[in-house]
Amino acid sequence: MATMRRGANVALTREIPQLTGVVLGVRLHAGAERAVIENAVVAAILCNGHGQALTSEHFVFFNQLASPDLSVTQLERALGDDHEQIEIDLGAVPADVARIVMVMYLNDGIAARRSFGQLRTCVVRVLNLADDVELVHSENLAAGLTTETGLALGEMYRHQGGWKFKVIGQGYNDGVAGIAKDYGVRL
Amino acid sequence: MPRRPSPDGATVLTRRRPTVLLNRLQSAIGALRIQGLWPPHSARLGCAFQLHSGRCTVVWPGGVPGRVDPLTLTANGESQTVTLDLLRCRELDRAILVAACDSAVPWTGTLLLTTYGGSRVEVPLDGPPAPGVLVLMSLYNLSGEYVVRAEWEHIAGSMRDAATAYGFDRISWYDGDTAIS
Repeated sequence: MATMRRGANVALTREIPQLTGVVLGVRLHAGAERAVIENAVVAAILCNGHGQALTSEHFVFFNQLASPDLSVTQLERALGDDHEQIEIDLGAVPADVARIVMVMYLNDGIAARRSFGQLRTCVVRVLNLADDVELVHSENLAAGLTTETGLALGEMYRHQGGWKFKVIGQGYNDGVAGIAKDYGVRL
Repeated sequence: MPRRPSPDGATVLTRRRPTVLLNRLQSAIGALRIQGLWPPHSARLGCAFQLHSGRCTVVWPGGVPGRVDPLTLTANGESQTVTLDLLRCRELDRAILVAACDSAVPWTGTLLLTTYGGSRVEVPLDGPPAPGVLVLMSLYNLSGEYVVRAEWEHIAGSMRDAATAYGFDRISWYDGDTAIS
């Protein structure tokens, strides 16, 4: 399996023409700092060509497990060792969705402030939806994180009639608020 | 279509329009903060709630611990706030927000609910002096979206009476203000 660095991309449907769907998974490890993982929320944002969420219903996470068209769904219980998994039925993604961004944030509830700097491992994986075989995975995105409470992990995006995957790895110090601002999600 | 909170400014609940429906993001991101804004020493804020597990309990000044996950009751100066950790929103089925007021002064002020994104829902508090407690607001988890409803129901009794009136009948009480489970 290929390891992808931040910013790297791969033309998945050109490399695997029979690919009809993918699973995006994220693996986390924080040693004894279990709380940072327990408070981490993974979401997928279905964006238009300008990188903006179509509507608030196109923010898929634990309290909204599917996009309105059902093309993107979050598994209530991830399989294997992934912390969270998001399934994408590529053929069912509406034409006005240009990219699907996988993000992660620490819920700013009533717990003590934490940050993704406490993570030892954060790896994004892309699996073939048909057989769960891993296609690619990112480098360890936890390296270099310090005070971030939000993270854009990676994205699937349309390119020349197919789909590519890109590792993003961009951190946010203002958590989901910063993510929402960048991707036009109204909280 | 259900009424949604205004993204800009406050949504004031009235007797003609007493309900508002938070969307799935407002119901699950960050925390809901419900703050009692009234003259100093005129009222105490508390909350009775039921978890998805069936457990019912209260957070109430003086009588019980200020934190029963996923809810916390804090007092900061003259301000009292009930905070719901929305990471655990699916655990909370329903709740009522109750004020116990000084019976010698008019009931005046506002109960203010604020979402993580800054949407505000206000329940004005306005009435003549009366002994007892006032159920100001109810919250119901409707398949992942919280229904917020202004109640304004005066109960001529204690927190226990208010909780019982709203069906939180699995709570054991030491006295009218003190829950033991």
